[in-house]
Amino acid sequence: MKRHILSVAVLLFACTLVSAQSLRGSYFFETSPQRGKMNAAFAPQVNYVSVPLLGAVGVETWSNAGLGQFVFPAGGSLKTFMHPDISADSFLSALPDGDPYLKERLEMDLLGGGFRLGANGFVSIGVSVLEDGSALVPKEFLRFAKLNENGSYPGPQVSGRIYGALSLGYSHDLGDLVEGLRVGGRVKLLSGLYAGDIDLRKIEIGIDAEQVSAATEGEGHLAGIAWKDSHLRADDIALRGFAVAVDLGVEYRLRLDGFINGVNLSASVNDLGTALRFNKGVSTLTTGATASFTGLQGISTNYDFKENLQRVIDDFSRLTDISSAPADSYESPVRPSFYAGVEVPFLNEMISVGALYYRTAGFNHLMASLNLSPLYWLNLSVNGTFLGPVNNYGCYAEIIPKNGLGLFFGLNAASLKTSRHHIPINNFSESACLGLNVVFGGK
Amino acid sequence: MKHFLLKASGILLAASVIGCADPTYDIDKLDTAAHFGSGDINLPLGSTDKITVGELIGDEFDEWISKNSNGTYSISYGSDPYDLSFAVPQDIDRSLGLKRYKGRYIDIEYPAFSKPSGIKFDENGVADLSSRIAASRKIAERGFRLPFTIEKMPAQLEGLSSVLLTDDSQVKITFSIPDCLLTEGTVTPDIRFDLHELFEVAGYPDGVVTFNDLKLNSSNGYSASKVLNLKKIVINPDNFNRAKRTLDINAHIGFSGNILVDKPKTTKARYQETGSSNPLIIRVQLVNLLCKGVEGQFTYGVDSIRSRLKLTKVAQKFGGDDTPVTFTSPELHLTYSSNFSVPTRAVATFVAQRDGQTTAQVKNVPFDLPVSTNGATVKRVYRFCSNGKSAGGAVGVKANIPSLFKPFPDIIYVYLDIATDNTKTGIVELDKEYDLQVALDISSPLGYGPGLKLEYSDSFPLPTVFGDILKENRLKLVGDITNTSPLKLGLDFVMTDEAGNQLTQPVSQEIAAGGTTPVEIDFGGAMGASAKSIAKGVLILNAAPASSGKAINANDYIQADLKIQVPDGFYFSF
Repeated sequence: MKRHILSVAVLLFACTLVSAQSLRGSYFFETSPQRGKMNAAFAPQVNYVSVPLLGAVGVETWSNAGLGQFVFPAGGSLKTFMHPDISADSFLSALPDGDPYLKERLEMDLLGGGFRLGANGFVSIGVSVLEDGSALVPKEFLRFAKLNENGSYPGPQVSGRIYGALSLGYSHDLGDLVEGLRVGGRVKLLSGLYAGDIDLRKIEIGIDAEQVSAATEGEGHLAGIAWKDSHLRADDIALRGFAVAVDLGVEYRLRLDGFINGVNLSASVNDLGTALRFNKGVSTLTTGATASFTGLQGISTNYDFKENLQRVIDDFSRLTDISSAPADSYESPVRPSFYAGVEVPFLNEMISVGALYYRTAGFNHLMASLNLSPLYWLNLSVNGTFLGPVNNYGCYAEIIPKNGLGLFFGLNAASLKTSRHHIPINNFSESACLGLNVVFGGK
Repeated sequence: MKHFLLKASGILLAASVIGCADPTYDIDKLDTAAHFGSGDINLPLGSTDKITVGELIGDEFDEWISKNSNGTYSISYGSDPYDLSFAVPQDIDRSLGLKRYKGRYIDIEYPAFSKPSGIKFDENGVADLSSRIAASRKIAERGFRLPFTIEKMPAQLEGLSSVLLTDDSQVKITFSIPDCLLTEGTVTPDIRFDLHELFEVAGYPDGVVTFNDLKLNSSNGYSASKVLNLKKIVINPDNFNRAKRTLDINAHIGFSGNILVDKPKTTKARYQETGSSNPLIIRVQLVNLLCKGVEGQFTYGVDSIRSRLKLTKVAQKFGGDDTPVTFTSPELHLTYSSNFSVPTRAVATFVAQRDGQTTAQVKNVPFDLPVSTNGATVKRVYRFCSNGKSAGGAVGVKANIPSLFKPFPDIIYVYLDIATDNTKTGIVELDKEYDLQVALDISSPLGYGPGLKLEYSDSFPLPTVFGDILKENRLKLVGDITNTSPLKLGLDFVMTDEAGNQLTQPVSQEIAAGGTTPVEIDFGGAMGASAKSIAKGVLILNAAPASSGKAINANDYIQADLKIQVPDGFYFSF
């Protein structure tokens, strides 16, 4: 059973994280309703109403490390980095430059739709739920786990949150003013549902013949979740925090005659606003204790071993004790993202190549995409993304009739090399998205 | 073209979603073994208090076992004091044959000065005789003898040194000039009185008394006395007839010196009243002269005693061959107290018996008893032991006492013959009550016996992590154990499950006596799954038989300071 712990853990992350990366395959398809999420100026050529709960579901996970950084094939079996046959050099040199992390993001549209408004306008509205989380294990901590050198180390950090977003967007064609120019904006009202984080700032360990000592120090926060009797318990769903954000976008389409049909330029900034401030059901978590054991002292003929051993065990158990106290508020940052794209269509816009620079979650990315629209209702693309934590490749497919049921599906994967249980062996980025929308009024 | 693009798109899409599974990364083949620590891991385990022998023995003893201030234990078993008898001779002639001098005196007369003629008196009828009477007049040496015989001397008297006189024995010397011519002026007898052949006079160790402080004058009627306290009659040992128990004395007492006259005057009336001579009369008078005691060499058989030390209870407890304790360097103590002032000697014989049969004897052990010098009681403790050394204020007497305890007796008889030492001088006082007392006791430090089966066993719970560690690891206990006792100890450690079933082979460690022993108890290699059942540790401490004969000391202790060593780090599995 234990043998599967690692694989299950990674798979869980892989399965719970799917999202925007694969959706970015839609960025250069003019008919796609989804691309408006990345640039508020984009307006699809159809009206649409999302199928409730299935309008768009995206999950994404990425990490700067994979299975191969923690387990190693040796002697006909797979061995963990703590196996005595695995040298410290082998393990430490395999680790990434930064602290290993794992991040995930999930986004689900509950309701949504978009409609042309007048000759030049397009209105979109949406209600969605978003979840993101991350876990980080400092390299120094992993170094201790392997080398067991006494010292003080930063400990793991874990965070996650779930929040809802109500968005209202409007895009307007300014072709009358400047041919090919379109701008748009979206206002988002973010409402926090649940959140939590904990940062084990310091783990101090000293082991020698005279004393075994340890100290911990950490802090965290919870919102909508209670820490009671050493267990987490979620409260009922409620709106516990708010934030306001805006998305702004611009698109310029330059039409050309010839093999190349034009150049499309676009840029946007999203989630520009306040931090998500939770102010209900908030508590702070603190952990921190010191324990030392210098040996059982004063053992005599009537010494109570059980009591004294239990006292030592209790002392060390307190190292992981977490205490909770009510707090007024807790702010969870909402990080803005930025997109800038350029597309060159040719062959009557059945084919285009595009480059998209974007910055999300603190990372820069550059995606190159080959986009095919062999039929009006069919969009296909393959893409590769560079500069980010990991290079990845993906595809996107979308069926978008003028009237009827529209379907899209996207996948991105960084590491084609996986274990037999489909766990990425190296650093990875995996994402998937799919959705169903009822489209109508296509031109 | 569209068909081509459709086909191309399909191929690209398929290629992008098909990954490459690496068979070497098969989680099913994950080896979950792990290792912590780059070398030997040393962890503190603990240290004990000083676990003393006293704690192990306890504090409840039989009444004849006592704990000494230095922590040792002793058996102490004594007999009641035994009063010795001594018959004081009663028929001695206390008057010393001097009855005939009782109430009598001896006068010796010297001419002091003559009555001068043709003297002139002044108008007051007083004449100064300074020019007519010599200021100093030498008197010729004279004396007398006092012959007498002391009878009924003690029959036990081998030789005689002196006869002690009672404290009120005195000789009174009176100087006088009867009908003295002088009415003024002083006459001072400057007389040397030699008594050394007869008496030892208090304050005059050489027996010669010089009188120059008596002033004869008109205020004392020209008469003055001096009393001398007498201590002994000085005798010539050759005059002691042991057969007749008599002592003949014929001592000479002599006088010599001067008569000093200062500023002599007389009156006409006095001059006419007195005769022509003015002699100085020295009167010697013996007062209360009685015998107090006799100093000499005596042959008294004071007493012969037989005392016994009944050790039945001790023998019942420790008399067996497998006794856990022995009696190391047993001693027999004899406490003697006496005010007897005759040198006395004793001879002791010890006889040990077991079940009525004599098992060992120590015969004829002589030792001197103390002499009272001034009649006060003296006390001395004798320590009969194998080395005969004095210790703790007790006088050592060499005797093979340990032999009496092999085998352990249930009774020890002590025969004691006490007699005076006729080679030494002592004193027997006639009216004194002599108290002589002897008390016996046995004292022996307790030691560890040949059959010692000292075993201390204790079990204590082991945390489950202990079993987890032993499952895959070799474990050692390292450290020091200090053992100040003379016991060479054996330490066994075994681990059991909750029900007490032994899960490991006993691990043994020898602990040297009287020092600190480095300890390295190796529990061996990984135990595997059985280690999970480990719940208790059982520690058994044994005393090795080689410790026999060493003294038991409650303050001896055992103290351990131990650490856990995991050679080459921890091995464990996820």
